[in-house]
Amino acid sequence: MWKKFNQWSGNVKFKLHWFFVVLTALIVPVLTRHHPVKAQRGEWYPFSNFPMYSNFEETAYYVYITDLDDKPVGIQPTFGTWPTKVKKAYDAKLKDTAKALKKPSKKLTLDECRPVAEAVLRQLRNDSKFPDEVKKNAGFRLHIMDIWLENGRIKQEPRLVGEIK
Amino acid sequence: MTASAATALAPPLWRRVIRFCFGFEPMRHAWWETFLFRIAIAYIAWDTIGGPSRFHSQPAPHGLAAWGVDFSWLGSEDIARWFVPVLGVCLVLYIAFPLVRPLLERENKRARCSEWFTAVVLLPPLLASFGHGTLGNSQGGIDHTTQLVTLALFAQWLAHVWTAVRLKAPSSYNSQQLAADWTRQLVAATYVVSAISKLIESKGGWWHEAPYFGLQIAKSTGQAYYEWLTPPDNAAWLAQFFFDHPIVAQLFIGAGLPLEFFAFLALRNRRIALFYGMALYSFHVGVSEIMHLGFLYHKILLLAFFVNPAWWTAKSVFIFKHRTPNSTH
Repeated sequence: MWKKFNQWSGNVKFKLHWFFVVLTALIVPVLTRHHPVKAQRGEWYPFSNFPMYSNFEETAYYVYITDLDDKPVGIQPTFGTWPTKVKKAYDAKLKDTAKALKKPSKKLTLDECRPVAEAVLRQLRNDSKFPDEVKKNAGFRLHIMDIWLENGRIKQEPRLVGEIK
Repeated sequence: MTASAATALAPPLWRRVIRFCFGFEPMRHAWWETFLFRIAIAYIAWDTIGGPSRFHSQPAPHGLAAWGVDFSWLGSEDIARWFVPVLGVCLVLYIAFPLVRPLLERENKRARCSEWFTAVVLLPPLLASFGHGTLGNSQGGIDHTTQLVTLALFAQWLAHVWTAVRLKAPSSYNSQQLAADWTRQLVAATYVVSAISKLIESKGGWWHEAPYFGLQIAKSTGQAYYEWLTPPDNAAWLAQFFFDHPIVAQLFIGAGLPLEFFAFLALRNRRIALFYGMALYSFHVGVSEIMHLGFLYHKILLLAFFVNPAWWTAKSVFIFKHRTPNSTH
């Protein structure tokens, strides 16, 4: 049996490739399957199962930031990061909160989401690449833009989640 | 043997086509090809590690950080002042050293030392790339921008260690050719794994759900605006178009799945590597336009290791030079 396996594996080309496929598609996801944060399952840098756009849901949302007068703030020139990273940080913190409250993150009320949004805004303000740009604003607001399909048309609606001063 | 007998013995057309497309032909790269590959890898590595990290803490430890390894020092300006130049020197040595190797290697023992030297100079950039990526992913979200850069450095480093300890290289590759082959294998693997994830996560329904990609386009368009507050110059109309024409969406988006799933075929010879390199490169360009995602490192590695325009140009010139005298007769 072992001899046959050895013979077969000797003939397999691109062994590193297939080893890596098994490692990242099977072994890492199995070892990280109990991670409390869903986005971290299957991930162990630099090994990843690259799950981007692997599942299309029927709703989507993104986050954006405004000043206290609801005037949009450019995330890159103010904080030196990308909206996608802000959303990922918000998602991760929201899931932690949902877990602590023992309810799905989609069912969290606005009051329950507020501390999460404020924590993200504080982290952005503290880690900003451009502190001078941050100081130009008295505070920031984090909004969510919900996107869904209604009667075959794409609909979008914003909602304020939290603010810091 | 007569011409008719030779024709009778020749394999059928379909077999010749399959052999032409998928036949295994080891890619034994010339020194100047591997030199260009090293420049490409050093460039993308420098782009990701050539400065201090923006992050100074690990609020949500990930990977090695979750096991207690602290990479937050990569955010220190003081450390970066001496560490980044060291990384720069290492990358320059990594690019240039194989060029002067033949002058140094008169004995087999020295050849082995050369392999170790290359592996040692690659180690700081590899560890820095590992650290920067882990630190970035320890902020609460997972980012998939630099994994490929770290993996490319890892493949290069592993190939040199492999040769240094005198393990048998497949297809009689030298260390540079082995490094190129293993880099290509890991790049292709990331695409195969991504396709497997799509099938698992969507429970096989990925193709059927493709029209909902329209919502992702709407999301990306909004995100692109709030990044710089400039209206995105993109194909935002596609978002609604995909819902209005689901079959088109399934064909357009669905084409990406088999392309990724069979990416391992690109390892078999230069022709299929060229085809796959161009197809995946075009796929990334399309996604970049629609979704405002960069894929810069993917594009550079595909261009260097799969499309390899320098080799095809050289080959075309060679063929042209050797055919011109005959064609004038």
